[in-house]
Amino acid sequence: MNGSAVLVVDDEVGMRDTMVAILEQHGYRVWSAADGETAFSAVQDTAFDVVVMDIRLPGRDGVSVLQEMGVPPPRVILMTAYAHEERLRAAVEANAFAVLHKPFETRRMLGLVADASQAGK
Amino acid sequence: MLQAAGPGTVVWQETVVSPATPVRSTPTSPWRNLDIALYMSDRPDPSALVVTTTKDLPLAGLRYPFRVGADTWLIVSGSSHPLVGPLAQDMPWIILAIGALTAVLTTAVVETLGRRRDYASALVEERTSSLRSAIADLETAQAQLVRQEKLAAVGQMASAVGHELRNPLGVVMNVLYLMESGTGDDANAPMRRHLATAKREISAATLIVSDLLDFATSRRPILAPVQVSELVAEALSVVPPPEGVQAVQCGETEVVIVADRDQIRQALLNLITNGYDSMPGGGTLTVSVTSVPGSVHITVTDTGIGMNQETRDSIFTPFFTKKTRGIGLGLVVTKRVVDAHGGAITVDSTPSAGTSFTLTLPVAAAMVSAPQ
Repeated sequence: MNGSAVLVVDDEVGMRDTMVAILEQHGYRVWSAADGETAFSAVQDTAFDVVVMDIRLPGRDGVSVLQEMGVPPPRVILMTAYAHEERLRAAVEANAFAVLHKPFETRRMLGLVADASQAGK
Repeated sequence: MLQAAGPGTVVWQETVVSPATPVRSTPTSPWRNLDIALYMSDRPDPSALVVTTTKDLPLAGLRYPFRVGADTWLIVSGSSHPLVGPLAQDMPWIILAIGALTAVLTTAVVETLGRRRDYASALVEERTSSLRSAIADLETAQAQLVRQEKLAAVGQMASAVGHELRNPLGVVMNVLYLMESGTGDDANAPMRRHLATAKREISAATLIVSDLLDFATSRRPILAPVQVSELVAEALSVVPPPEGVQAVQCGETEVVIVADRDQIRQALLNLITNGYDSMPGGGTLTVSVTSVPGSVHITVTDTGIGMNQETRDSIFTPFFTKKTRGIGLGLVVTKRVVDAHGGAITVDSTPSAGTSFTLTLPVAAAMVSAPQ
């Protein structure tokens, strides 16, 4: 079992629940949040290895949460169903570990989370 | 009368004789009786009279016809009274000379006016033509604007619908994964086949949504290193081959290019899906990776129905499709992606034998602005 701490942030409950289930199935310790503010608070309280976060969130978006996390941030994988080019480039500039375009191949998501958790160790 | 007479006799008397009727004096100058009439006709037709110096028409005298453009004009010169004096003998010639001079001057004036009229007509025609052309351009621009506005509206709609569809499609993908992994090794073959079919259909739906989104709102590539064979393997696993079709990956395995991973993946998915769809009776789809100096070739070959020349000429036209499903944007978006990476796409096809698409991508993509 992997044991790395992962935070899943998505306002879509179906996506959030299936992500948590899949990651737990692969041995990760998983937390979840439904919006950017909660995610930002959670990151302050808990030392996550990886954050998997949607770009479009209620209130503040995933890119701005990533930008405010500061250094050293956990590895952040951003997900997007559709984002403007400007937000995608901002995500890259804010040192996102990867950008996953929804709907993604589940195995690719697992591969990226594994790579991110390894890279942080 | 002067008389010799005595004193008291009138010696001088002046007699004044008044004429009973006034006597018309004979003119001493011939010019005063000279009259001229100008006709815009070859005959002294009163309706064609342009100008005259007398009321006594028709004027008898010398006639001098002359041509002005296509028309014949006539000058008539004569006198109201018999001419007397030293110039009377030469008068006909003088009149003729004056007539000729007048004719030349009139011709010059009329010709000048005619040319000015022709010039003005040509100018009006030219301006009218320019105006018509400008109006046509304006109408074309307006039609284009309306078309662009419609496309923009479609783009906004596609973005909204695409976003809303991609999330549930993603959830279903995850659920399928959970079902697949939950069934474990005990799963029977039909169940695995059904799951593969569900996955393939979800991928097909995803591809249509993505093509529509990318067509409506194209973006420039966001470049990062991409391991090509790994990307090909992922694309092949996203869309499992239909029954009777075998998918084969071959070629080099260590090629890395700088590209937009998501865009190249979508291009590959389009080519792979087209390949599967062209083999309803089964066959083999091969994806090979070959590196050449500075570039990499990714070739997707099927053993399907192939294309004739007419179809091949239209495959990059938006909304053109010969398939029973699909919206005809896959190859349009694929070409756009390849162009934006500074690459090229080529096609080789034989009816009833198969089709081969080759993407040539630079190892380090040259940044090319995406078409707006």
